[in-house]
Amino acid sequence: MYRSQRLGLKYLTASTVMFGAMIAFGLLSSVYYILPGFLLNVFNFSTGKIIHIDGLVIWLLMGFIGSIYWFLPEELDREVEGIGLAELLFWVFCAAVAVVVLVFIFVQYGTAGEWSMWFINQGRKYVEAPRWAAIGIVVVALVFAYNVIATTIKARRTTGILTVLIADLVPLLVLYFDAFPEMTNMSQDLFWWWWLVHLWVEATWEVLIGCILAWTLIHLVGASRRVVESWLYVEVAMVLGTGILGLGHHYFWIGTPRYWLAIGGVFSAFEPLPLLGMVVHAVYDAGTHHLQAANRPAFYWTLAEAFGNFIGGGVWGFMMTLPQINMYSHGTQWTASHGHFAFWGAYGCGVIAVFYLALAKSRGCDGLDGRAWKWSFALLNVGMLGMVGALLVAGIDQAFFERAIGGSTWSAYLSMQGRPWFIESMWARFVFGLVFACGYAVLVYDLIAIGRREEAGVQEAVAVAGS
Amino acid sequence: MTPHAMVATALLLGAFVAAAGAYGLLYCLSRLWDQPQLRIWSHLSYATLCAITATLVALTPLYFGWKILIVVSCGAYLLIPAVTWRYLTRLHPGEKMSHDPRLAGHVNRSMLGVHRRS
Amino acid sequence: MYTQDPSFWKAGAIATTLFMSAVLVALTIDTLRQISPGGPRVPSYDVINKAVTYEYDPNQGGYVPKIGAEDLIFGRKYSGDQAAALLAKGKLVIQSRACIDCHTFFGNGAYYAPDLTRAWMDPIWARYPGPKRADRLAKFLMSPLRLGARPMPNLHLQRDEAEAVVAYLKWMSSVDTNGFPDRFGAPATQ
Repeated sequence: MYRSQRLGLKYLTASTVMFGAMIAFGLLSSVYYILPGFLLNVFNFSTGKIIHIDGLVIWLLMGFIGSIYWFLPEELDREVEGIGLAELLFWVFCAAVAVVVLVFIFVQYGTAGEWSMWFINQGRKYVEAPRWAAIGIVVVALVFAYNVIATTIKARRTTGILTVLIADLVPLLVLYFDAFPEMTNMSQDLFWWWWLVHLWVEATWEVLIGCILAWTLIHLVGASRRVVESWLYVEVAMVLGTGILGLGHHYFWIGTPRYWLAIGGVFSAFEPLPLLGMVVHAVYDAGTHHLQAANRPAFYWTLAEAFGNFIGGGVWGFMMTLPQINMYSHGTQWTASHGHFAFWGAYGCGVIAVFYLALAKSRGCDGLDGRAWKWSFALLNVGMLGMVGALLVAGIDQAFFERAIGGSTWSAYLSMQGRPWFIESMWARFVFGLVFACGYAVLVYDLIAIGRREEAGVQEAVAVAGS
Repeated sequence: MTPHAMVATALLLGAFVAAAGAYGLLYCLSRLWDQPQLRIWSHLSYATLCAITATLVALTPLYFGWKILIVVSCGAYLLIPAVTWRYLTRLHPGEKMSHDPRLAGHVNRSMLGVHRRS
Repeated sequence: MYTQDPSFWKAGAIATTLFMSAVLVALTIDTLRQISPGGPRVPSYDVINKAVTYEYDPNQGGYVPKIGAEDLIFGRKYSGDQAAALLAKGKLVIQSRACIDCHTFFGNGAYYAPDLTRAWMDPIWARYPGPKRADRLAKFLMSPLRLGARPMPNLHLQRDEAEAVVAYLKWMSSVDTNGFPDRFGAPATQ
């Protein structure tokens, strides 16, 4: 195994741990909705939610980075340049995340001043981490980009997938600079913030996961490189063709000009089209391989990715994206329903597929199968569907009663939160969150155990044959 | 737009894309397994998509421009599975597809190599 | 056929990305101009010296903020620079306490607490004791009363921080958000 692949495994392990932390704080956050006043002034909702959503970003980013460190040396048949530095920075990254989380938990917030921004909490959604940590992330990202680009240069060759990845990494990193500024004007703040968030999750991250899945298909089912690369270019054209101006669907209500209602609505209405293309591709690949692959969990999580992306991002998104609907659904649990489903479908499933792919190779297995992965697959997906369904009911209830009828006042909001369907939805979300957490526990067990007993048997057989 | 119309329209919009997805899935399966029943179901899915489109156009208070967009999307969703499928089959000239649905559930161990279990 | 050549699709991906990015950049330049304080959509910061209401405009087909006569907060008239400094402080308070991780601003944030876009003009403040609206909001921020089923934590705001946040909320309520939230404070019949 290349050193880069060992590092990839470390990142994928850290990603799994962060996934667990995200789930734990997600469960905690859901408790506040069903127990009013829970831990009031001791550990407020905002703190748990910050760790939940920032944990989401970190576990997925670590999953992406781990995947790329895993695939890159095999792509170029050489060790990654600067791997020593990358190995060091992995530990720095983990330590920084731990410090940031501990400060969030034990300090929580500071007074209004630069000290808070630099060392405690920047208070902007998804990028609450203090500036010192944001600088750390930039350093890690720059070294990561150096690893990828320098290795490609030293190899004196590139591939289609790698070229797309490198081209994608540049805007991905540049966009992160929005994690730093503090702007008085909220319209301006949110305008640039959405450049970061949307052009990450609905543009550059889509291309990134496309590259990772292209590599996955080559290694999983032996897909032809020419085919996956051609398809990757088609995907990039469609996803960026719709997603770049689809950014406008976040510019309906933040003070920006009215033309964004038309532009954002039209382009985000087109966003499901490439996702349907991805479903067709996934079904094609699955069918031509008779729904079989040696690594069954990786195969099924890859399929889940295509369908989850379409339903969570496409179906759920289209429900609420047109301005006449969005006026009422905006900023309700309806948004949370779409957000959970889309992140899970578009990214969570794909990263888990790579977990299994990397594990199979690292344990010397040609394939993987068993019972535990099926249980975790079922529990995680059923748990997610349950949470998303519950949030949808709550969100529609909110849009209807609080917004459309109630006129969106504080009284309308507060009375809405006490309505029976809303409360029952919050309980359902909590219960399905527990199901999801059980699925995670089984996933962790499976990731630790799968392939190991047979690996030990193979090593013994090799030792006997050699003696 | 009344509150009821808002919720009904939103659910129809979600059903619109869901029907498009169902059509795409059934289109692919009908070509994979070459079963007449699947073709019928795929046509029915697209018919459902058209019915939802007609409902959105005729009965919802969406602005005229959005209705045009939905009609155009309905057409696009008809083309995407077919165009994508043709593109993929031309890209994969050496790959054969199984026309026997029984093979879909069959594990061919000798073809796939050794399996490791958890 | 050229569509089977990966280079065709590669060129298509590059061209599409560049074109869409160019359009986005052009729209960004125009949008930033329009959302600068004092511009057509975002009032200058000294709007905090004026009355701000939210009314239906038949020309727009929706609700828009209206700036009225003088209506000072905290008994002071702020110059442009003073208002800018006060609002800068207010934004810093909002960020330091991570308000956006419970509340929403222009509908963005967390959904655990009410949206704050028009919080300045919310009818609920009529129930809260205090001589003027600004004072009531400031008192609430320093010592939140339980207004409903969802109690707000005490984030230990000093008086000057609370005043800065109140000023910020007043300015924010004057931004033209294309009618969001719809019919604020004017409930519809079912």
